[in-house]
Amino acid sequence: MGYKSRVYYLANNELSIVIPAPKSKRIGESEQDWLERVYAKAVSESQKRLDATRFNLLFEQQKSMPNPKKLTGLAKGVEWCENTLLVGKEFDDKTDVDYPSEYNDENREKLRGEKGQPLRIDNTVVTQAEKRKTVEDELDAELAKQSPSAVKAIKLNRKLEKKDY
Amino acid sequence: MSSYPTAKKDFKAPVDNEDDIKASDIVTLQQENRAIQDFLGTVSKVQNIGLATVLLDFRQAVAITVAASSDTVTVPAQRMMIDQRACVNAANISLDLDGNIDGSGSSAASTTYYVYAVDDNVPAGTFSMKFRTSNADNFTGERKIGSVTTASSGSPPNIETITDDDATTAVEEKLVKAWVMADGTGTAAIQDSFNVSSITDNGTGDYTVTFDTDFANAFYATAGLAMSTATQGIQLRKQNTAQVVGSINIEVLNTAGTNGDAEFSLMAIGDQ
Repeated sequence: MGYKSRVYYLANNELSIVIPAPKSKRIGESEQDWLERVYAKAVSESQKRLDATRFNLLFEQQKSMPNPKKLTGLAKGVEWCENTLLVGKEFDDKTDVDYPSEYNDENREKLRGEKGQPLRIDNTVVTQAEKRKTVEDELDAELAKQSPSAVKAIKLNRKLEKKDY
Repeated sequence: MSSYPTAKKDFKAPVDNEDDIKASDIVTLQQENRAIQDFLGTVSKVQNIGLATVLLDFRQAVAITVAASSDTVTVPAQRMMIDQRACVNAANISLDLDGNIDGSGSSAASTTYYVYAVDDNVPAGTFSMKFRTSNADNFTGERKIGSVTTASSGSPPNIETITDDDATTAVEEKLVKAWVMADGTGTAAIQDSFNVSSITDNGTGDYTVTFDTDFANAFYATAGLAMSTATQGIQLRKQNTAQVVGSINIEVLNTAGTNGDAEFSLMAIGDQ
């Protein structure tokens, strides 16, 4: 038996995976009680984060001179909290042998699953790193030309700078 | 304005009710910490609460009650932690009082009580607090965590001084209260940790570290590193989310500024 984890199913079959810290098991506590305590706290924390981030956003919005950068960041934060909220989400308990054999640090974004189904790598998902690589390759190809287009090259470079891919 | 003691190890109970703590007196967390001690001294005198209750509350910074008649210690589930040892079963915790000190507050005047945390039975997690008037001890698995000295008069006498001999408790401000070393590559794993109940892998390079015991407020400081590999950078940053007392969100970024899975370590310091 390998590492234990609880996989929560988010929108679009995306996943959040809660991994208990082995040292958090208390003396005299059963394995089941320990895991349920740890998972329950992870779920409640996701709600607290959402509530607190919403509050911070509202607080910033109500200032006479709100900080635009802070507003943008907090709005993204609220969106992130909503997308990763674990409350009410379906889940399955997994160990490391339940993960696809091809799963590695390059394809976490492609990991998908549904309640009661095996986890899988969905190769139709294009990761951020792959999108960036496409733009980089396009820029390299342009620059490798005998007479590269400066405008095109600059546009591609700006895409990379702005992470617009 | 109350005059708080300058060092928390030299706590003096207030003389009268005019020294009761007011919220307006508390400006910094350090003052708050001192005020808690001051408050406990006031409670000891005004509410006629036993010395044991006051000290236990002080030690744990959580609500622990001692029944006056039976000396039964009641702790909130999963909140008892002394000497880095957590107990979840209140039945495994007992209070052993010596001589003329008891849960109703009948402690003697001008007396120093030495307080021991005793781990009687490690596998079962049995834990007791022992109060002794003698500084000599021979308990199995004991650790002296402090002492209290009562005033020369009063019924019951005030606590005059609390001496904190245990530098590893949660009330110490200078200590790291939580840390974790985790490998977020592939199937994430926690390699080692302290006061961390779990990490949540929310996506590529996107993690939540959840603490076992919450911080007292959201103003704790964190520091960490992500491990550089051939494809990853070494940047670790906090998410745009609010920092809450029980968890923190972090991102690992590669040199291109996109998220990447990596090994990372994180530590947190603040009031608990």
